[in-house]
Amino acid sequence: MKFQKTLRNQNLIRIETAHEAVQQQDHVAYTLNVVLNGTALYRFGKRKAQLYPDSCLMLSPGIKSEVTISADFDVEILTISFSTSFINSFLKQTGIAAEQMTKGGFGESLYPISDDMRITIGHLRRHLERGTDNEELINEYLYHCLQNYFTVFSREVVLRMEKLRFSKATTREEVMKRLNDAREYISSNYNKNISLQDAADIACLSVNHFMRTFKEAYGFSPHQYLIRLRLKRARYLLRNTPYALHEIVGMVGFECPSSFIRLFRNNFTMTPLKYRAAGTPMPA
Amino acid sequence: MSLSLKYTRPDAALQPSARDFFEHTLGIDTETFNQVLPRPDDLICDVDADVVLLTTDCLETCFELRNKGISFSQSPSYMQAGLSAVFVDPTGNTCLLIEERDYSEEKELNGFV
Repeated sequence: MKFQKTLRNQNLIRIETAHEAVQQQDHVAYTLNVVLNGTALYRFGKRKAQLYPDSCLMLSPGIKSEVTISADFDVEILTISFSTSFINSFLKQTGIAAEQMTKGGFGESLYPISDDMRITIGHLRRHLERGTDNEELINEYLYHCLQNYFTVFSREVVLRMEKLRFSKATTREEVMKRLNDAREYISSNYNKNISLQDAADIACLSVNHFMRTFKEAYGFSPHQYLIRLRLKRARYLLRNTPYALHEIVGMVGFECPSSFIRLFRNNFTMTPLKYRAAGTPMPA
Repeated sequence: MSLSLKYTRPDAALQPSARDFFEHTLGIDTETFNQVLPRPDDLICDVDADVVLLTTDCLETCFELRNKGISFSQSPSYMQAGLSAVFVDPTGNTCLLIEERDYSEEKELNGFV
């Protein structure tokens, strides 16, 4: 364990570092989980998901989770538990309805970390490393972490659900839940040889229905989504790890370096090695 | 707290009381007010400010300024250029405090996150 701080309002921040570990937790509060570098396997309820630095996971009170870390290098995990009074005050100030915290089963899922959330977490981490004991300031960052989370949640659930062409709201919500499960499955297994049928099975939809509704909601076919996810994670590895290009190609699930380089250049207008040479590491 | 001047409206008045405020409360060299700085394009649509101040951490700066007695007419909120907050200086100039953020990678991924 690297760091733990419990604030007077019972908000709790923990940053843990390990390369081999299994940790079990009973969550008594809403807990935001972020992997700062590397990856970790989360089991929660009957589900499991691989968490990467580009995603976050909010777990609800009453949920039990198990986190497994198995890596060649240290993996850093940030967890923030928000006290009930802090959550209630946040919801009151922002006007967000309390049911949005779970939104009928959408709560426990992987959602992308936006640039704003990454920057907020980066500032928070810098203050914690400096030993800042100003709780009022730390709570400001926690408030904005929640705000950033809800912005992404709204974009990923509410706005995407509205794109589905079903007249009944209950149907839209049910299909969105299934698509969300499939998206989480793709995100967790993005570097494996997963098939369209696998993802459709997770969504409990026929392949044709899955393909059509996925594209309606996300604007990409499941295959395009998978390719862009691989490219996005390759970018992260290029900027933040010393792995050689051919290793990264394999790590993100591409079989052929030349097709990876072509896809990378077509999407980002520069080759992977130029991208690596051009930039500074992305903050966690 | 590290603040720098990004823009001042050419006719923004800098009365002695405001000069003292900018120099001692905000720690900004008021000589830079004599320079005409171009208004950044990315701010035009968002806030009609007389003075734009840059910070590397908007939440921290707001917190420190509140402790110095400054009250904000707009709490930290997100805009196209980054995280910003607004206060009014002693002579009535509207000051926009902004932590510029680079969203280019997110935009480059064309909405895919």
